[in-house]
Amino acid sequence: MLILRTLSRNSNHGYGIAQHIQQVSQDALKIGEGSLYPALQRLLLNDFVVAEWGLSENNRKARFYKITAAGRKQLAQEKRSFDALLVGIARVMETS
Amino acid sequence: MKLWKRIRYLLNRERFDRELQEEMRIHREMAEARLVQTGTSQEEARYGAMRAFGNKTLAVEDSRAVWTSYVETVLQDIRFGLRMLRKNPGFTTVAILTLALGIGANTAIFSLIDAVMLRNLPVKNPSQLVTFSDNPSQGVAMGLQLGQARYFSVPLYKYFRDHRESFEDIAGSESGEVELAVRAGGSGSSGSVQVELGKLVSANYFSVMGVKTVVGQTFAETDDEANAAPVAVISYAYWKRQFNLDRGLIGRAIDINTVPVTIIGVTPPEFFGERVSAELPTIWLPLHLQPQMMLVKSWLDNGEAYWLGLIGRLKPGVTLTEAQASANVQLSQLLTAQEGTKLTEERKKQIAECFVALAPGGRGLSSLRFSYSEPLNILMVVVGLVLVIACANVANLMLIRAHARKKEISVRLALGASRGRMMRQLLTESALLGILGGIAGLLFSVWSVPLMVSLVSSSAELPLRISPDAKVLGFTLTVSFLTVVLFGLVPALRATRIDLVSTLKGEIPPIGKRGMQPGLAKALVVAQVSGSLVLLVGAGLFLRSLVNLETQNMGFEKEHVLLVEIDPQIAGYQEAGLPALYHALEDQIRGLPGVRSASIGMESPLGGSESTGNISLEGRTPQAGEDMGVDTTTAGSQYFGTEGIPLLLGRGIGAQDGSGAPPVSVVNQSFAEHFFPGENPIGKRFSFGSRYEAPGIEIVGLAKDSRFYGTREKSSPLVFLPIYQMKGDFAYAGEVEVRATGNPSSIAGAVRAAIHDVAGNLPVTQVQTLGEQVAQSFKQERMISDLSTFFGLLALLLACVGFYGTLASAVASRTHEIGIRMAIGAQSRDVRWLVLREVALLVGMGLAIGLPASLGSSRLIASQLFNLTPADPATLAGAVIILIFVAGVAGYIPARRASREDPMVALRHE
Repeated sequence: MLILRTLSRNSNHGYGIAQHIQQVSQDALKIGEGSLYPALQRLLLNDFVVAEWGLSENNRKARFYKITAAGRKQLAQEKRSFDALLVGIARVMETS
Repeated sequence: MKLWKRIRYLLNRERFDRELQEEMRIHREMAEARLVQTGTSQEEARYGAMRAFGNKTLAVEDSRAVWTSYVETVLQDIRFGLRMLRKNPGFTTVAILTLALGIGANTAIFSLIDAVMLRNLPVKNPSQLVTFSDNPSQGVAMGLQLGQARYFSVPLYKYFRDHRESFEDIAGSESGEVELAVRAGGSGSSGSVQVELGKLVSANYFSVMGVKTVVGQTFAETDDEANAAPVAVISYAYWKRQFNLDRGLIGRAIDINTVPVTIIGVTPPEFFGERVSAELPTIWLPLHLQPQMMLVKSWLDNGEAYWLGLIGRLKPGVTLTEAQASANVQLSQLLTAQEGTKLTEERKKQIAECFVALAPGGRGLSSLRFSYSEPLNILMVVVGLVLVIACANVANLMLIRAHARKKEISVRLALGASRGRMMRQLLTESALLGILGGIAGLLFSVWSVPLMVSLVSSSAELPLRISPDAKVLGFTLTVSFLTVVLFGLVPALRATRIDLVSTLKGEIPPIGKRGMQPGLAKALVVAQVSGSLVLLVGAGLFLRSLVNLETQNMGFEKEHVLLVEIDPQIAGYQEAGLPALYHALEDQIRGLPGVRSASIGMESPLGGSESTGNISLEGRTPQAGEDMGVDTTTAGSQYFGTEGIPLLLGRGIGAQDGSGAPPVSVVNQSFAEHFFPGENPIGKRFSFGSRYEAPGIEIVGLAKDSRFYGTREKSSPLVFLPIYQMKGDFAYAGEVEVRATGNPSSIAGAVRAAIHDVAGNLPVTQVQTLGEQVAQSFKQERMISDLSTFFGLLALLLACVGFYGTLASAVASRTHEIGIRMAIGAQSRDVRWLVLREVALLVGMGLAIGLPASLGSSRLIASQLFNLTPADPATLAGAVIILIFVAGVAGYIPARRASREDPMVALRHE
């Protein structure tokens, strides 16, 4: 969900995704590369993203991932269920 | 979509890996660059980036795992499995051979059973066909048959056909075949006379069978009317052999028994009639030609001549049971009507005892099926047992191997392989073995099936086309699949349940000791031993029974005798000229060098055909219910000397017993004991028929009992009549018997030439020695004894392998223990004893189970045995001794190896 959200703005490469998530969450979330790449492969396999080789901002060769329509749909759905989960957790925490 | 992507991944795996690695490298470089920017040194930045990235290999593996599917793991497993099998050629060979033998033997026997017992006739809707008797015997019966009707008269056939409620139609066909003298070139042609087998059938025969011709047509209803022009349908084989598939043959006439017969059609290649036998008819003729073809009086209107077999086609939806009910009513109605006013109370009772037993006719009538169904079923059980032993053997081998691979498995489990994944791997390996074994088994059976057929039937023309058809293939595959599941699951289950720590430390508990389920390996060996014992006992019983049969006192001397079959009836000899022909033949052959004596006769011992009749004695009225039936055969002068049947009293038949001389006969011991107990039979008189008619036939000689018609039955009363005095059918001889001074086969050519010199047109139909004829009658016994011996030894060999494997493995894993024992003073004798004690225990348990099982199962084959009780002590003892000996040898090798162990080496082991 986080990767898809990151990509929903603009396409990015693996390092960029990791950096973005780390920065936005203000270092609260660190995506280990060990789980980033398998996750990306899963997204590729499910057609939620597509990948192509391109040049990064400082002219390095990198593989860019781009979200697809199916990816956006998946993101919306995941966000909904995540929100529901959050609400649920919040309610439990309040009543204690 | 996903699957497609996965497949594309599989195909481009290398590129994928390269890109992934590249991508990750770039990732690290970016991280590194960033760190450098924030002021870290180049070196530290690189380590920092690596640290941040984490376990690179794991990341690659995990990324890959997303794409891999079961397809790939299965492929992987197969590749790995094949590699493992290649690495252990000994194990692989033994396992595959074991399976191949088990599966192959089963397929071969099943193919044979399928061909002999299950296969349908190659006709339209065979399941609708019904035969009016399932008895495959052939012949003619004169007079009412009590009990089950085997043959039918023409009037009876017509009655059934005209009153068919359950049947679409009913056909009648001669119950056997008739030998025909055929001049294929037609009458007046100079071509030689050939003997062909013909069959007389009703005009609707082919339509009832549902057979169409390949050229020409089948009989029309009018072809079987009295005085219709003679026509015939011929078989494809005959068309090919004699006429070279010439289509112009249709409408041409050939000469059969000097009658010109027009050929109107040819049957399809696969059609052979309703009778599955080695001798197939090649010419079918309408019933009305019976007198000309059989060269006897007409039986067409004779209600007393029972010579047809009936076959009907059921109406759709009618069951056999429904048809059966009406058939019996019709039989008794007609038999009663035939008697008319002569009907007596006694006759009424007899008719009430008559019945027709309809039988499914789709598989035809088969004497093979009739006589071989029991032996084949026994063999099926035998090979089934062999398969079980083979499976146990392979399971044992797998168990031992899984045991030996424990360390490898532990390492894999420790590295994180899941238990399910390991099981799948092991199962894949066993499945591979099963498949390879199945293929090898199929090849083995393809090779062995013709061998088995030749054991059942010597003729290549037998319509048993045995190819591994779908049914057989399915059977094999099921067997091999079950085998795989059977022997793959157990070792897999066990192999993955390992105590990791102790195994990695090198403590492998020996099979069957401490911690492992102790029973399984031993139970497998015990099962093998007991199964082998059952098979060995069976084989021993069959073998001894065969020896008993062959070495029994037959009452004749089978050595040095040559039998030359002749057929003067077909050659067209008139009755009056026969004695002259016989004397000329006898004189000519007796003059040949190397011939001790020669005689003409109807048949020799175990020749097959039998003719019986009732007699009455001079001056004696039979008591009620007394059995007055005797067998009769005909003989020429020197008959008894030639056959080697000793004469006990009086004289044999001589050349002087001609048509003008008083009628005489020689009888056998059983005859004398039955009719004249305690009296000298010489000089007594009897005649055939229910009332004595003077002057009767005088008994001039008493012959020793001999096995004349069967090798198992007790002798029955038998009369030898001088062939020179006979009338009608009985006047025609069947063969010339020649006793040679040396090897009978070596004079065969000279005898043939002599016959040709005397009577150029007399066809010699077959030449064999009396020894061969005797051996022929033991064929079935020989087959079952040979095969059961083969399978018994096979089972023994398998058990031996299993035994050796288990013990060798047990010894190997106890090396440590043995080393300690020897270090503290055990002698090699003690160590040997240690292992052999195990052998004795296993064999003892195997025998304890196997002996009662053998006794139980041998009772089932009691009917197949001759002069032998199923619990024959010698056979049992023999089987036990063989088994103990073989197990001892198989066990001694590992025992000796253990005792030769150098204690130091053993202690350092591992």
